[in-house]
Amino acid sequence: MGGDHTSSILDQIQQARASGQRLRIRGSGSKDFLGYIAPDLMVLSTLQHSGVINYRPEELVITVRAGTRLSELDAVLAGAGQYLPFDPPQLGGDPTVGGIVASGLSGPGRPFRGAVRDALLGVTLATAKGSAVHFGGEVMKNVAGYDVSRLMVGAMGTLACILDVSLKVLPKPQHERCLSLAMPPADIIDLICSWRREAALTAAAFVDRQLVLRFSGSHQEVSRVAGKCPGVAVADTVFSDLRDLKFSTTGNLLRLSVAVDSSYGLEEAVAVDWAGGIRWLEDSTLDLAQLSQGHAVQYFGRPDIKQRFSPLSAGLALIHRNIKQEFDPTGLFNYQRLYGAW
Amino acid sequence: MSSTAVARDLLRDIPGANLIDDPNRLRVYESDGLTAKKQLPALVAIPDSLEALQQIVKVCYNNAIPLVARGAGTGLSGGATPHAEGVLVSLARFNRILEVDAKNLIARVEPGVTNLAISDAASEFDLFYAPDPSSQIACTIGGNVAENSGGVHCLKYGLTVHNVQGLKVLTAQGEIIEVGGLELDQQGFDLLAVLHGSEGMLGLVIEVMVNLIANPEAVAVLMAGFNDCGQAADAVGELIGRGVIPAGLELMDRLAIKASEDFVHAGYPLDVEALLLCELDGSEADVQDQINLVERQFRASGASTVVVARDPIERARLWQGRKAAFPAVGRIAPDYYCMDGTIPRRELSRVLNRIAELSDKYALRVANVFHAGDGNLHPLILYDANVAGQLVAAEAFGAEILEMCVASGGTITGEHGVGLEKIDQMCNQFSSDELQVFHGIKHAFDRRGILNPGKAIPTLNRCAEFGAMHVRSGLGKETKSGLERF
Repeated sequence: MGGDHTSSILDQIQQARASGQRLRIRGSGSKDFLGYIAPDLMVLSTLQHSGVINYRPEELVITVRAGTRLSELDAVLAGAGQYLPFDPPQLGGDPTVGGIVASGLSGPGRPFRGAVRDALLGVTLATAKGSAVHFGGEVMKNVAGYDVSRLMVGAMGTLACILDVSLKVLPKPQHERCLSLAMPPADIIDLICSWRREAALTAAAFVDRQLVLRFSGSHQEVSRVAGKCPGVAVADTVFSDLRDLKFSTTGNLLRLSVAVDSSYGLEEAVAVDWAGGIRWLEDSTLDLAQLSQGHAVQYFGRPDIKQRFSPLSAGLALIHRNIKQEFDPTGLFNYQRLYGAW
Repeated sequence: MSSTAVARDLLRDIPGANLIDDPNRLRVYESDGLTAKKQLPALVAIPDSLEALQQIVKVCYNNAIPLVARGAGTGLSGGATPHAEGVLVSLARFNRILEVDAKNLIARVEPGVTNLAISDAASEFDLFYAPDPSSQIACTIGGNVAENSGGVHCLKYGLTVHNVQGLKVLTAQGEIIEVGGLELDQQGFDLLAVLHGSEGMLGLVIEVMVNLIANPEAVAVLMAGFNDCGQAADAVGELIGRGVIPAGLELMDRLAIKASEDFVHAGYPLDVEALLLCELDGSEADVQDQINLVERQFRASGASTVVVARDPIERARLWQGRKAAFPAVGRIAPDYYCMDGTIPRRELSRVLNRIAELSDKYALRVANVFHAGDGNLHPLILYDANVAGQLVAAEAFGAEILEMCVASGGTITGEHGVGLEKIDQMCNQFSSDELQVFHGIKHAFDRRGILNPGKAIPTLNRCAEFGAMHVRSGLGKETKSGLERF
């Protein structure tokens, strides 16, 4: 199967629009746990709309359809010695590219190699009117018009249905080495901050009361930098396990995003990622609406609780609502998935 | 009453607004770097406090007075060209570096701080701010955000949007919003990205939180001469295809080399058709390995000479020739028109050939100096405005280059923005459905369309008149406010 199903997706949108049926855009379903799923939504599946449209390794760009699975994308890139620098979570499934972009989730390398949004160069979208529109492209520098492509990252499919995406890719590093050091959580921030100046550092996290660091680059550079670190060698799966939340036992997780050097939530965290910028809290009593710093997302929330993302400031909430109104005035796409009001 | 009198009456009681209405003094602000477009504003304000700025914005919003923000005025697309009935607000007095936080690797600065001043302030901590447009000694960070500026180091380090973590913005209504911040991700929509490159049409940047990067241990610059410009262009893709991502990779053609060498004597060879300048950075050992690899690769691609600059003085000299190339070209012709389009790297050789053919067709010389690694072209079309027909020919030539960029899978602007200059070419690149998405975003931020009206996003009517687009009857009249929305 697979191939170009653009017209089928546009038809489904037009029919839903005519009948007043709200749609739930869905790829593989690997992020069904993220955000609230309102009742009575009809699934608009992107799974059939899949496949690589254009890949030119020397241009460092790949263009794929939204329903393409990460496993397929990874395999194609690996064939040319390249990879996705933002290391998207798999979370026990095989996510689609559309879901990866819409959720905007990036792996442990994010502070060092950039996020999904940094790699996104262009999109083709199906609008709520049922037309296909294209923004950005396959070139690195492009400032014609507003950056609609990146507006889709983290919008959780509330603005449009992503059809195709172009992503910047990079050559895989020659070599990687992961080291771990046992220490109390209070000590990790200063240490991470001192290591952040090393260009070879590509991940820094805290899990199982171990600070884990990843160094990437040429053999000589990894040896030189890792040689200055007194840690014990560990398998690189420590970071893929962290990325896919394997440390969690209860399945009730709060993802708290704060300043890298903040002490907020540090002691309680079951894991710390992004060089300190993400704290994972299990069974937390923190109220999403009452955080004293940063912002948070409830993963695997109770089905009846709508609020999974901490609320926006009044000024930002107004602009968000206005943007939603302009893109999707009738609330056709992913109703209430991100914020309760729309 | 004149527009000036109306605006002056409404704004004159705001303390610290520092208004200018004397036509002779207004003339200073009549254009930005796109000097072909000149327009006196009704009034200039140079507020000296956030409170004054906020009041000016509120008055403009409440009275539907167009407001154009200006930094250093170095923009090349007319983003800061004044509006005849509007207020031009200079942010020059917001020029403080508020904080350099070496632990979080960020700096917080006001919008009127120059690009270079950030790296200067960060150098104390052995850090730097990566995006470095050629105008970096003068251009301001607020303008860099508005235009999503690039520079010679984008290939490895990205554009402004990749190097800014947070913004404080004054909305069209005069409210302060904070987008992004010390956290590494944002809540909800990526407004940080939407604000970058929005050309002052969605809000006024009042504070910028930029990312800082540790200075690399080693830097080297290679200069390779080629006897064929196409070979030099192909060498770019061949090098990147080998897995090397240089910090910068620039191409100059024969005319640009000659002009620059005559001007600054950087030591460029004069017997070649094209030069590539390649900067490598990283650890000492890695840079040494990369120098060897790049040198081998350039020779394999047909380079006739390769020179490696290792000491800072020689490096600076080679870069000086590149950085002085635009003014150098300015010395060999009365006027030049600087173009800015991006194409996929694999198209470089073909497009450069085509530009040479167009040069014959229009009987105008072209110098090429550009960010080859990014596929970001900057053809400089030489003309003499005093010769009848040459300006028109230069503009037609430029338009044809941009159409070729779009047809090659690229874009009409890589880093200079649309502004007034390329607003008609937007009709070529985008359909009416796509333009309506842009108009929707503008409307979401600025219901009354007071911010920088007439720039960047053409109305559907304008595109219909431009003749590049078919607009169904009546569609172009869908404006939601009394003002022209863009």
